[in-house]
Amino acid sequence: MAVAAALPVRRVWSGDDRLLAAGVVLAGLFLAVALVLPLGTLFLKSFEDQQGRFVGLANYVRYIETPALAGSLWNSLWTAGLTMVIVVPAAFVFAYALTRSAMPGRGLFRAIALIPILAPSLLPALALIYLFGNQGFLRSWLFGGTIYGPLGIIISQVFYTFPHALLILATALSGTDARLYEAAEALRASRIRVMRTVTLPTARYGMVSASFVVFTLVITDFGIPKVIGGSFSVLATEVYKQVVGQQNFQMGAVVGVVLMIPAILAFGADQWAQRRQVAVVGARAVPYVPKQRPERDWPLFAFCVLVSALLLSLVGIAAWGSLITFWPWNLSLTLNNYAFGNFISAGWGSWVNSVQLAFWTALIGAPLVFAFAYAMDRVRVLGPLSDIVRFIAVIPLAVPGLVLGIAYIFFFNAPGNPLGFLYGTLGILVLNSLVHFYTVGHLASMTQLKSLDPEFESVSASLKVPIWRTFAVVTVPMSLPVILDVAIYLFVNAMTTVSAVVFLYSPHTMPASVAVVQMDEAGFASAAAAMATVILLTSAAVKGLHVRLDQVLTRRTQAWRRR
Amino acid sequence: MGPALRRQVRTAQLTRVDTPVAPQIAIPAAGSTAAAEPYLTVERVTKRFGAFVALDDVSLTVGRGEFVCFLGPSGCGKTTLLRAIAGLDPQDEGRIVQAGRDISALPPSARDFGIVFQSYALFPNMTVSANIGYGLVSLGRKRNEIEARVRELLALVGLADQAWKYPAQLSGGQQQRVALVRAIAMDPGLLLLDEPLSALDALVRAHLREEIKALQRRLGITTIMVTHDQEEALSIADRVVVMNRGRIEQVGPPDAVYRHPETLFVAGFVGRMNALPGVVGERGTIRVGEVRIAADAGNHLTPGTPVQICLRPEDLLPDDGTHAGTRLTATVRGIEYLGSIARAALDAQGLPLVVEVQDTALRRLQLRPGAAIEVVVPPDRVLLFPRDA
Repeated sequence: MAVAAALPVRRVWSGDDRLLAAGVVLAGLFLAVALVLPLGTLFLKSFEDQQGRFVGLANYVRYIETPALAGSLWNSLWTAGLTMVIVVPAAFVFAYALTRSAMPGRGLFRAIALIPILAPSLLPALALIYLFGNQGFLRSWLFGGTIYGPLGIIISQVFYTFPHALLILATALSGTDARLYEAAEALRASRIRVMRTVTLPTARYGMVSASFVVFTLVITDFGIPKVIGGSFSVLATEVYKQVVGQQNFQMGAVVGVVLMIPAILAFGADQWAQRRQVAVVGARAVPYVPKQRPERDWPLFAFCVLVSALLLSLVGIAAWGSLITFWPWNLSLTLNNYAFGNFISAGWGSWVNSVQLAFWTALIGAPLVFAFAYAMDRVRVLGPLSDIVRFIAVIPLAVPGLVLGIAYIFFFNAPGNPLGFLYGTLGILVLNSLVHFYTVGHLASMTQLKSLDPEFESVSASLKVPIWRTFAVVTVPMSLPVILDVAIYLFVNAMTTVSAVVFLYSPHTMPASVAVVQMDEAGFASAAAAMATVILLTSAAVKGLHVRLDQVLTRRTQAWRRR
Repeated sequence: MGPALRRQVRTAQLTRVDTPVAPQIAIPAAGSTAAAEPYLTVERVTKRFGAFVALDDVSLTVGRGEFVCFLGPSGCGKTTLLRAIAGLDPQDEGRIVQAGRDISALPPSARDFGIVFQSYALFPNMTVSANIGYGLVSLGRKRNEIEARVRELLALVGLADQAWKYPAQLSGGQQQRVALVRAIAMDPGLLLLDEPLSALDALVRAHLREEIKALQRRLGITTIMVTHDQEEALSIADRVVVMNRGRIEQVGPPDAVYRHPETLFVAGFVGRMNALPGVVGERGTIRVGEVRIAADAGNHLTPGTPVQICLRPEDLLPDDGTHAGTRLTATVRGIEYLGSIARAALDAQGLPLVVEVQDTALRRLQLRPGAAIEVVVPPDRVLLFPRDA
């Protein structure tokens, strides 16, 4: 066979390749405009003075030399550390009870433990103020101490971060192989030894992951220290004070950059832990079904009752407090605190704003995130560019909402930015929330896409079916439950978030969560509690609707799952 | 000496070893054994994944209507070659020509093939009918036309009554048939099968193997199947392409590949083999340890050349006085009983040999561990391969 020299192949792009490449480029542009450029602007601003001249590290030097500022960093670190030390073991025991015991009411306990996710972070802080604040009827329990400060912050943070840690640990513990336990039993290992050699190792990376998530949540949370921190200053409130209070944008940028350091470290460690976690659980694992064992089940049951009671009582007190006429002197019930127009000019309008914000974030976000994830996962051209876009899509997880909020001020408020028209509109709030919560939706979509047969597209190509059709009639219908999950996640988070939007709202777009902060600041604690309760009820209603919709959807469109 | 040159030298030596029987199956002449006109030509195709060379300068011709199997261990490049032909993972270098058209740079959708994957990749949310008609619908064919075609295809594989089921409601074998007819629904010129049977249990697999072969004969469609199962490859293919480490080791009809392996790798991979190091002695004998074995293939070799001597277990004959060849006395070390045949591990004057005998012979010879037996090595059945000293 006479053969010429082997020539390199220059592949011709098909229509499918062009479409997917366009999707990736679009995702890249979106993330560049909504994330990379604002963060870049923030970073540059931290090296400039008020007039915009480059001053090197002068701002950072001033930051370190100001004791109040440096102190807030230390305060943030130790409160976050202490919260982590309390939450992770408690959440581990709770998760263990849910996944590895045969105690009754596991479904109910799980539902109760997840309630805090549906509420704004400052709801527990408001409840604590009712109990232990200046007017609190349990104030004597503190023996002259005060709830305003680290004590209140840590208790509230424990409440707020508990479900996040629980979700991670429950997943880690449920992903175990029953055969490992059977093997351990067959080898006559004692229960303690099984715990030490089988259970803990499988959950180890889950615990690392949960620790870092809790740490990051506390460091970056703004609502709780704002409401119950008193004069105890932490990084998050310090940023707010610098930017909103003193209009010192340069120092705000510096604190923003500083705030990113622990968050990025935690993020990196979490990514490392998650990669390890995957390696532990095999695809062929046999699910573990716990057997009844009273000496284990009942103590765990007691623990879960105690934790659930604490969680419910904090929510209950906030809700009850919102119905009280004049705390603590007139305890008769009233709905006056729900007439928000009496306390804040936006009134119920702020709730309408929040629902709109959450609705649009979910409606635009879920399809967008999923379509972008699809393009990023299935694209066969573009080479390193698609890797870069995939990397950028994970960054939002490491960016605290406050930092993103300030970055948006710098970027969108800059003179000459053609996107400046967004500033002060609902649009910028939607964009901000979408990017802020992008990564979780992205990762969920990716996981779903990886679970689909990668050859669907290959088969379609061999049958000359364009990829968009296969996406529309195969990928999307099969992934509908996940897309709905992402939508609900975006809705609930946009509904409850304070940290990013607090810098970006205008008087007519003020969201309900910011209204809570404003009313609390103005001394209307009951109205603040009322608004927080309304937010919780809205999220809960949407979540309930989701569960119902999911059932209908499963019955109607997922008939093929049945055998 | 560069790798390419070394390969050439080795091929030459091998031809010398094995010449009398099958000179036509040397690699460069592979295309000439295809009876029909060439339909698919692969020319000097190379594919790398980072530093790993998955396909190393591979060339191959497939005739029209031929059934070819790519056979090799995992990681040998057989699936990579199939995916390059489909355009799913295009080669870095080299040319692929199908039906006179250079398709090297074309995306899969511009090529002409149907494909069945190991996972079948049936759309789980579509009925069997919708799966099979998937490509036809987007061609804009009329509805009754599509229905008729789908019915015809389902009847072809005996699934006419399963049209409205979802894939999850079918057995593995049924799913496999649906994937097969979906692949041929658009009358492609080339059918690609990527380990289509490996997810099935042994009985279904053997049955479907015959069914695929019968269907392929009936439709006359050029077919390439990837498999790691040598029995499957030998039973189904017109020609077998044995691959290893990104290269083609041998191309030929199943019996030629089995009886006359061209390389030590093929000898060891296809079927079972006793392989022992030896040195060429006087007058075509091979010295192995203390033993001398007569070998036709050794006649042309220079005495003192180190060789690897290969003997099929079924070619070692229990001596009944009628066979000519080297006689070895042996002790039975153990017996692996497999039903119709049995394998006996022997110690033949210090050489570890495995011999395969029919169950009838096993009964007659009363073989059991510790028993003595005499075996004959026929000189024409001895295979020799070059060995580094």
